[in-house]
Amino acid sequence: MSLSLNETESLAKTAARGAGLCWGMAEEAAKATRWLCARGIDAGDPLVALLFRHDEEGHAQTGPERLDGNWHGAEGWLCPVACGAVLSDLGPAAPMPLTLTRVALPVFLLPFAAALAKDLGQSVTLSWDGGHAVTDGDAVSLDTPPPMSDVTLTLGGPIPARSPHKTRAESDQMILVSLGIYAARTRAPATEASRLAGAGAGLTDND
Amino acid sequence: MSGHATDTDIKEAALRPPEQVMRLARLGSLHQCRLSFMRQLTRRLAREDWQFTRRAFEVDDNGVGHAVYTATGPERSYSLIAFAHDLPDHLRSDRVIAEAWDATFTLFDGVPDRADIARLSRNVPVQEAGRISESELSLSRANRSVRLWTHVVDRLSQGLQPDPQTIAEVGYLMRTTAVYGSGKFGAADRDVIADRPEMAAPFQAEMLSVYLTRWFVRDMVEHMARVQGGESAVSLDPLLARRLGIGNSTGLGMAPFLVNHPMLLNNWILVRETALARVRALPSATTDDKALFRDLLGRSVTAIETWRTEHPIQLARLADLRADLSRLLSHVADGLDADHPWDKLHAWAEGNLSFEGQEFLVSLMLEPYGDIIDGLGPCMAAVEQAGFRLDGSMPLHRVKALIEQQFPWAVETDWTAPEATARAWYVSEEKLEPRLGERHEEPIEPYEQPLAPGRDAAMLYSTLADWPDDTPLATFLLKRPEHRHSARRVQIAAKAPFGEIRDNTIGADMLPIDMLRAKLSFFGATSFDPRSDRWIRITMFAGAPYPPELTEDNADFWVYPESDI
Repeated sequence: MSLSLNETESLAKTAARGAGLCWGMAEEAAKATRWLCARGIDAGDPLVALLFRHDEEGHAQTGPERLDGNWHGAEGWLCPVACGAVLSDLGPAAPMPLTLTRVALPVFLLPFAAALAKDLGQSVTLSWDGGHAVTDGDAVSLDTPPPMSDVTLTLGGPIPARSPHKTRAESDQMILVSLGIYAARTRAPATEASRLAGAGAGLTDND
Repeated sequence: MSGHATDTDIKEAALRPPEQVMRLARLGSLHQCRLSFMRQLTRRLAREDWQFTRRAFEVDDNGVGHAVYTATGPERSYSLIAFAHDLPDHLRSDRVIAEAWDATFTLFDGVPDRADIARLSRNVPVQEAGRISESELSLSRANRSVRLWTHVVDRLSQGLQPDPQTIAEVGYLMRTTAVYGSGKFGAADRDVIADRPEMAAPFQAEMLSVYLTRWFVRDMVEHMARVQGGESAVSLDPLLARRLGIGNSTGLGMAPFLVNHPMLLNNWILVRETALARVRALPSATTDDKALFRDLLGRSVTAIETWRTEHPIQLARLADLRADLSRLLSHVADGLDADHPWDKLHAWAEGNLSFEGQEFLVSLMLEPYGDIIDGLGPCMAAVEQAGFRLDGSMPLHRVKALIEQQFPWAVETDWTAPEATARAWYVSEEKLEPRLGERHEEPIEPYEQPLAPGRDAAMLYSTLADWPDDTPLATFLLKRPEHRHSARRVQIAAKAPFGEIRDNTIGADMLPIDMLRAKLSFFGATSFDPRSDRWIRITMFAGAPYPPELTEDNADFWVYPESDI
């Protein structure tokens, strides 16, 4: 199904919240999803996988324990959105090169690496066993990343070819259903009281 | 001017401070002005000599079918595709939870072909349950005003004109409810059209769709009168038709929008405040300026006499407004000759009029000065994305200082008091309707939406007390990610101080209609008629020329009715 990017972002945010991310991190996950979709990169499938992991394993500390050049997660894995948010927050102060141990769905690091590339005015390369991705802040070249991997970020790399941004996200029905299940958790079951009073229509609206 | 609303000339103007402007009671007293999105639209359509065509009207004797109305400008065309339905009375409801309507609409980007119409005929009539595409810019629906529709059809079918008093009491033949745009239900994102000059100002696609809807509604009522009366039926008198607007019935959905778009809200308010500052800075007013102001004031008094409401809060506000206007009329009868007359008038109003009157005057003072104001219109748009990225290098003492500057009321509020957190905003499972509940009485807290920036800023502020002042924000957020949305908000508020409502949006005494009214006033709505504390009816485009009648002479001041009609 063809979704607008606003719809995609909104669904991603609600689903991320439903899977237990705090609002601020759900916003980051949603913006990252939109960024990837605008570049024709499938983000729906990895988002479902990431949210499944959050939901299964709880959502204690999934960012780095210490901000040196080797990031490890307290739970034995790193969330790419939590790490990406830190990377984006640090900006030019981020340690480079940087190694992330056992990061899930590393494709989600890309939008944040792109923000860093823009800050620094040079490309950022993400490398993992058997592949790599490069972004100059806007364009991106990408080998298919594994679902879980150690990733090293380094400065520099060939400037990827530019192509026009996509304005739609093509999404598989099963992915939408899965995200919808997480999103539904954010919504309150209707009660007669809320139906009558919650929206406040009150008086007759057929006149 | 062509730049963003934070250009130097705006910064230099003496603006009313956000602490004064961004209170709910004042936002709930705002009125339309010449920067309102409907008026920006009609001025542009006239200036650029847009052409309007009814391309199709295939509606049967039961009132079922479709119609297509196309607006063509210098570079592009847009078409309203209207589907007319035969709706049983008992299904007619303005609520989001409704599933059928008297008419449904989409604004098509260009001119639709048969295949487009066939595709849309399967999707637009079911609204939220259907899908539209990147070729569509809006999705909306409308229900008849049962009171007025039957009266007008009956009279016209008998060869008679409707009773002007009955028209005045209702004001519209159909009432829209949700008008969805910007990517909703598969429509094109705003980004897709934001670079087009005619779509640069906010909500222009939605306003165009409503403007064309009004034309369709007039054709529909005349069609149904012909079906009923045959040869003896007559057309609606153009002067009566012009008085009719399109109603809108709006619930809580608009309130979260204002809180969720701080950059956009900032630009709306900042532009209006900038316009006010420019007018207040004028050393004198010409005879023509003064004459126009007095003329429009007189016409406003007439217009506001026709506003109807049964809601106690609005009845009191309306009484205040009428009293204010009468005070204003006598005050300006021979004034306005002083040095800096508008600044003096504004100062007088602050000491003598209610918020309703003060804000009405602000809007009215802008009217004679299109030449120094209208160029600000496109600056009311915003790229919300611009405020998204956090500055993680900011030390916590600076974050604290920003909270003290932008949220002082929130820092001083006792958030342990039950009345301070009496409400919670949530979204219902049922058709995803936004609702407001009583936190301490209903099981809704787990579902709370982040629509209380003041409370959240205060929570962040109190947590920061335990952290060393020179810690970078990035380090803090790594350990306390639950404050991330609030930290972002605080940094946005520093860039966009008019984007933050400076009141408690979850307090026991908060009135959601204040937020709805603020947004609707920027659309250009009139005749505010709250039906409860969270539900409001308004009128759009009342008094406006219909598209085929639009000229540069009538494109601007139509909102103020002429005394001879």
